[in-house]
Amino acid sequence: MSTPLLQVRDLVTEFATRGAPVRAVNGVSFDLAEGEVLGLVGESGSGKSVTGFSILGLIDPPGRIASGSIRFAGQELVGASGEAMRALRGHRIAMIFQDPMMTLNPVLRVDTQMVEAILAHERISQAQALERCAEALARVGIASPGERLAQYPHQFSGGMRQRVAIAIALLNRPSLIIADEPTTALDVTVQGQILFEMQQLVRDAGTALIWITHDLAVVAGLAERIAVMYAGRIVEQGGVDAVLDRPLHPYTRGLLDSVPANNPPGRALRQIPGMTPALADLPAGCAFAPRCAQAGPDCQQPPPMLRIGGREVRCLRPLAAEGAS
Amino acid sequence: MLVTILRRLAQTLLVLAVTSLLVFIGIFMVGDPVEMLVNPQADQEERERVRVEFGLDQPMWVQYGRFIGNALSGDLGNSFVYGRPAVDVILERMPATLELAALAMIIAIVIGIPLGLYAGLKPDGRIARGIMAGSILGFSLPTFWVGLLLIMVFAVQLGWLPSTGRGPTVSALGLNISILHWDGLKHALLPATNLALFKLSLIIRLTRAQVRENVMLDYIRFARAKGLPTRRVIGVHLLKNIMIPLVTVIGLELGSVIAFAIVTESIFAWPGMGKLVIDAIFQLDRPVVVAYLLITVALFILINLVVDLLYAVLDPRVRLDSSKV
Amino acid sequence: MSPWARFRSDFAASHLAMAGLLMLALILLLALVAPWIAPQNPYDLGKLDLMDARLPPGSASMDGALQYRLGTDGQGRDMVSAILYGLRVSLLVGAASGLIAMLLGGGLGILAAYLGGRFEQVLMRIVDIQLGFPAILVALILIATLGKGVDKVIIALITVQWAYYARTARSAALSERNKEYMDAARGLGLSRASIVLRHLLPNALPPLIVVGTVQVAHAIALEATLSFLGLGLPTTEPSLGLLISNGYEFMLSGKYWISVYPGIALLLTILSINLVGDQLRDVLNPRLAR
Repeated sequence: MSTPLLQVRDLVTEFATRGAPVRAVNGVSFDLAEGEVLGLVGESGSGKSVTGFSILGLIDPPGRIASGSIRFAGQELVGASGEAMRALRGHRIAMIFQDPMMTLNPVLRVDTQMVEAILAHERISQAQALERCAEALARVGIASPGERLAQYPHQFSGGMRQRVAIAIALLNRPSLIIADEPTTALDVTVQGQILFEMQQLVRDAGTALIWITHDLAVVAGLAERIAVMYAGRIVEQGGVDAVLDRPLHPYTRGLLDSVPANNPPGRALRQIPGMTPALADLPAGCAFAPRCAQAGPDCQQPPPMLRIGGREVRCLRPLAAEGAS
Repeated sequence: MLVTILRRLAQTLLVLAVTSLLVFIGIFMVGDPVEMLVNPQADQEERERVRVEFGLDQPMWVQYGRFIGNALSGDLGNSFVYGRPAVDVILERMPATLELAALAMIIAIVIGIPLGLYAGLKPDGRIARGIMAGSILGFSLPTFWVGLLLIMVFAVQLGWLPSTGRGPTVSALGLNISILHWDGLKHALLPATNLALFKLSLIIRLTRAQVRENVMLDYIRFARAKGLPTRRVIGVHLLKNIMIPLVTVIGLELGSVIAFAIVTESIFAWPGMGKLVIDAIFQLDRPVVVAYLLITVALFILINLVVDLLYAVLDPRVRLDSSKV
Repeated sequence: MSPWARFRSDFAASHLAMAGLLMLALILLLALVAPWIAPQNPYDLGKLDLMDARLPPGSASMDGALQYRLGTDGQGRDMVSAILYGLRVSLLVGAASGLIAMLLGGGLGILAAYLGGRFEQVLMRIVDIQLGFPAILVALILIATLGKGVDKVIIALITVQWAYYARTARSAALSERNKEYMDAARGLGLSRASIVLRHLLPNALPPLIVVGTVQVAHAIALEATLSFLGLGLPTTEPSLGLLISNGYEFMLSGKYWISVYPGIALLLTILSINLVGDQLRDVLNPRLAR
């Protein structure tokens, strides 16, 4: 088996506060193979976005990567020099953000913002760069790319802006794209389109993709593997079908149950009791224990990651695998 | 755009009208109007003559009408002290004030923006904190007192720079500008620095605030995620965004600097409009005071208008109002 | 932590601000007890001895009774006393005008936010137009038309300041007005006065206080400037600005103390107010909250 493209081991990213530092990412480990699509799922505050930023080295003070390792194509990213990271960003690893209105600079033209992404990593002429940008825009389905390039972000609709962001991410043919909730800020119909298009593009180019979202429905169609995060930890990992059909962690079960579509009409919607804990106030041991129906006294200890079949679950009492492994 | 300009023009006229009314009421109504127009040494016969000649026996609105009519044709009465049209006297001295104000603003901008940028990018460092403390000192220092100190130190004690007066002028752009001449620059340096101090502090603080607000925004992160060198992220992306509010404030402050030149000109005996009007107030040369007020008000409104237009030019969101696709 | 305790700890986080607060308290104290601690009453012309004029710091009076720690001015006034009394005048004028402007401007602003409609539009237009003019120009116009005198100066200072208060109060009250609980209060039929007093007012207060400190500092500086130019307070009640102006003619002959020391007093006053106001703004600003 070839080495994974990305290997994250025991990543801890913390933020300084008035009191003790808060661990937004609390010991996260996962692998990503070349060309693989991983869905990173969790509620807000679960640490999924921070994980994405940590990989790119975009954690600013008062945050920092406290410990752990991130190996990308054999290169260790944690502690790498600023210049090394800069060379990687936008080149080998690209990122797509959530709100396209805020991510594109409103006072610069689109072509400026696209061409600079190329020229930061390659020495080609302005004209050649522009050509590539026009091609990229066409590939993401933007009509009359030549005209569009001369325009400003506010002249695009939300969906179009996100397409531009996707085009920028693909410009330098990265090996890995980290997409942080790219469709959350868009209309539902546009969401579907973008999802579909992303899928195609990524498949065609053989790019690995980490899709960060809180929406289970989104990952279902898109990802090959899925990792569920809760309070800074991955609580369950595995093939998407296996995890969604036969979840092992009570939290995953709760998430699936609470999706309105999975609830029979006329009955009260199922909810996970309690609330997500504040990261500064985590219980010792399993963070989900206070809300878990099957928690026991041994859940006061941090549960280890159990390996069941090709899957992982961080629970002392994983739900019965029902014969499947 | 045209609509905006027209609207602003209408506003301008309204403000001018209101100001002229206020000035008229103040200057001509308070006390005996004849006193405003005759030499204080004139005898009774002279006063009667003036009263009839200027129609001061006419009803109020007729007088105001004549005042406005005269004003529009550029006649605001003759200065007692100089015996010439007040408007001419003011306009003659205007270039001196304007060049002082311009030099002061240049000093404030050239020193202020880089310092503010630094303080915003490294806000917790010792240098940044020193800069901010210095800026509070800068706008707490009473301008006129600093002027005295500057004269005492640089002119009297050290003898490096002349203490009063304006240097020789050089003809350029149809005006007589002294700062283009080396000796003229020496004369202008102290008063300009004095005038610049307050604005310098303001610009430092404003720039820093803008930088701190903007560095947290998504578009900066996105620019870094593209792998752009820091030089470009700060120098192009950040700077272009903070320029917009900066330019508008600087433009507005220019008007304030022109007004505040009154104080500096008095201390340094700089032959500009400001010194003229102070002398005029003491010499009861009312026509000159009136002329100064109206001309300066018109100048400010002009500056405001230019700033508004500049804002529209700099911010593409305002400039291009086309609907989105 | 109670809100008050948290505010105290946030404020105290800045050493500079605490130093400013201390300095301000000291200055206020000195101004308050000036009549009792000043070696001399500088306004009592009878007590002044022209023979003692323009003495450098540290000299003694001709009759040996007084020590002129900071020297004397052109009329033989002890600088220490002159500065202490001048401080009183400057602070009084600044604070009085600031307070009245805050009540006037703040009241109008809150009223505008509450009443809305034409009243608000017209008021805000006036505010905008006035704020487009530099303070010194407005003050100049007023002094030129109204003449000189303490009351005229205070009127001028109030006129210069009220617009800032009005604008601040209105936007603070506006953000409250649009909140849902206001509809609830109206729905419950609470009287107008109670709505204004209990809800709009407390919300407008923090930003008004922040603006207030800056404005008082500006007012003090503006009054000093006007007095320096000879357009401010009369010579019978010399503020620090006038003292500095009196000393101007002696600067070039090396008798620096007549202008420099009052200037330092003025500087420290304004500086301390600004240091306090700056920290207040940072502490009360929700956007910078971590």
